[in-house]
Amino acid sequence: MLFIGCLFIGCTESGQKPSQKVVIYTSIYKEVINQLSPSLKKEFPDLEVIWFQGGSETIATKVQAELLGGKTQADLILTSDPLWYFELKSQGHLLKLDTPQMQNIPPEWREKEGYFVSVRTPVMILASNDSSLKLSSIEDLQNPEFKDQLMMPSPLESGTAFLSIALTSQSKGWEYFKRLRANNLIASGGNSVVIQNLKNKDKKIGWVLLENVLAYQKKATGGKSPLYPLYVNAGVIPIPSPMAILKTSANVDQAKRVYNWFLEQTAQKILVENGMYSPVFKELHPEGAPPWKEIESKTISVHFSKLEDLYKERDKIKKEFTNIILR
Amino acid sequence: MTFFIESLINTLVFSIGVAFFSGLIGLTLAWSTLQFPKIIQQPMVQLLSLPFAFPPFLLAIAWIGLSQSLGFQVYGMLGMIFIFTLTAFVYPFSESYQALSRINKSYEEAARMSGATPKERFLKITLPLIFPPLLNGVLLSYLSALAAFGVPALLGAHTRTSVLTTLLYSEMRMGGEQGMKNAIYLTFALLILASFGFILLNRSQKIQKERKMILVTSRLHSNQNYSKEKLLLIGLFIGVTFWIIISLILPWISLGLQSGHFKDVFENTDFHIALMNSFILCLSSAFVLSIGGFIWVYFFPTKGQLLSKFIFSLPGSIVAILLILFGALYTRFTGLFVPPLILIFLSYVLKFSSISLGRFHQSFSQFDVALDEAAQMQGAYSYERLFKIWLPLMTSVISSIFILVFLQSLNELNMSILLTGPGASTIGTLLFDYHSYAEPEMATTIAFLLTTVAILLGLSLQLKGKKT
Repeated sequence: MLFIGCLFIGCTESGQKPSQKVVIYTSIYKEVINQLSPSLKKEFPDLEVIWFQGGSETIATKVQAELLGGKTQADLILTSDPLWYFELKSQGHLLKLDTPQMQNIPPEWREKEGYFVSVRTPVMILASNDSSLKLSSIEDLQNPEFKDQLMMPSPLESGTAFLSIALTSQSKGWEYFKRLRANNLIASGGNSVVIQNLKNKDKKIGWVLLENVLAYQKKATGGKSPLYPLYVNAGVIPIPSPMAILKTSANVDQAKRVYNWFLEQTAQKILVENGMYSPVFKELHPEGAPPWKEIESKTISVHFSKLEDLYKERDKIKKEFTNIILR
Repeated sequence: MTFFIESLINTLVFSIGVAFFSGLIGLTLAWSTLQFPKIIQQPMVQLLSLPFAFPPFLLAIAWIGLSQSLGFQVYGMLGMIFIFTLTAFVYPFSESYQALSRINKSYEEAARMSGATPKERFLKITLPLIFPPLLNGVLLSYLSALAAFGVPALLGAHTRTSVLTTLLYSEMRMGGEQGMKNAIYLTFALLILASFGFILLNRSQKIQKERKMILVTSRLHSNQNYSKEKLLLIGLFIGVTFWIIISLILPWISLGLQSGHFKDVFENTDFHIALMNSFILCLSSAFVLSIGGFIWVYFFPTKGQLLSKFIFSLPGSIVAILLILFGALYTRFTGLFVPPLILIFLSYVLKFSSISLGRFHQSFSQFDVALDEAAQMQGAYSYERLFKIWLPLMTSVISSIFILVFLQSLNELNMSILLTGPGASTIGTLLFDYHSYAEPEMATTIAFLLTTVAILLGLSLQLKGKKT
């Protein structure tokens, strides 16, 4: 008991003293972090950056659990669910900012008071392991020929999946998902689980992140089953993934430096190289993907001002989707 | 509410299904193994005990890969029960094997001479004698299935089969105040189900203790050769070998075949950090529970056992939630954060304390109290008696517990996923992240390495047990 007590007392951290340290909670994939990290170190050699990576919903649960105690260890959060950021803002957990770099973000992807901005734009698309498949819109997924062939990540695990179903339910209604349930749409795990199922030909069509498809195409060599992205009407969903600084951060100045760095060219190029579009440099596009101008007409429109109303429905959306698809 | 009832029913079907099949298979394998000559028996027992070292979550990953190659599905309730039984059977198997090998042969001889058929001898003599330890094993299988998360999460999603642990997880993921409230209600539901199992387990262990004299005091131990028919022996051998193959060899090979990114894994910084964290956590908890447990049971022989058994019977997710709440309270009152590694360490110590306390209690009780009293009368202080008399006697038990706790901590996933934080990834959480979010091929490589280490540790534990 004494041993455990000493270990406890010796190891608890205040998190209050300012230090040359920034803690980032993020849903960005590990291999992207492994590329961002050295550039960040080069830019700020005096700064220690600690990453905690998990799915968007894992990060949200972690932050909520920490906030039960009144504060969180995170200085900066970068995940994929903008609706959660509106919730954090309404609860007074986010820091208001106004930096020159923020002005480079289009207004539709910038919170109007400056509490958070979109730092990257992953895109949800349909993908298939069948090169002969032709779809014109996501409405085609309701066709009986696709019964038992559909899969998507679970919105309870993946922030990108959550925003996709939130926006689609707004444009197509919940009846659309009921028809997909009739076609036995499975929602499970993260984006990579969907890729696995497509790769193994357990499913034919997946609703999945473009960056996962492009990463798989890069790795796949002769003989392996390739995957094909499908850019269909209303089936290209940009996910303007936010970044914010927590009000309880003990390292606000350091966090601001890193915040601004993420909106500059070095970081934005790394994100684009890893299959995402840039909200700052719209002329850049991932290798193997079309320029933004070519697919923009097929996207569902996403505007932060509209999302602000949607955030109040966040729990209701999850519950509705769970009742229709997951149960 | 309807979905809660559905998940509750699924939980009962899953737990009771696993308990039933584990008991049936465990008893059959124990009886079958005892038919063989000792030279075959010992290696078979060791191999049959090894699936205990195989984390059920990894078994599920291995069998998903296997089933895809063989053209069938393991998703759904039947798949869940099948996969989980592949490890849970070890509890009733080891309890039955120990009990069957200690039965006084003269009881069966007397029944045989009185004209009883083999079936009558088994049902009216053998089964009643071994029923308490068998029930013990079956209840442990029930409790481990009740607490399971990885297998239901992986295999239940495709068929929408939810159990209470996966429902609890999804309620926490719903977020918001209502989500957390629902998670707490589900925690209570799991506590109630676990309590039933715990009460029965406690009762069964008490009966077993009372009956111990009947099984162990006889010098005429059963020679285990109930049947000499060659054909039957060959059939039993094939059956036991088949089970070893599907519960251990095939999954291990399947993981090996799906692996291949060893270079990427070993060069990966995240893997180094997770390995270091796992090593420190497993070593610390094993050290605390082996040395600490030894000292605790010596000075407080009657304290802590009931509580530790109760905590063992709780699902890991409940232990994790309680520690999260504790961490939040600590932060609120002191302004300090409890590092996630400390919370994970505490979860391991709490969850596996019953392994330590139970084993030490059993080991201490096998020695005559006169040993300690004689030393005391000669003027030896308690610490002298502890280190000069008891420590040499208990060295092999301490090292067995060390390896067992190390192994259990290495395989632990449920609590680690909920308690992890910055810089606190373990091999289990890294594996889960790779499998769910980023690189499944890396996940299977890590899974293969983890199971290989677990099997080797399990084998060394078996060899230690043999020497004790």
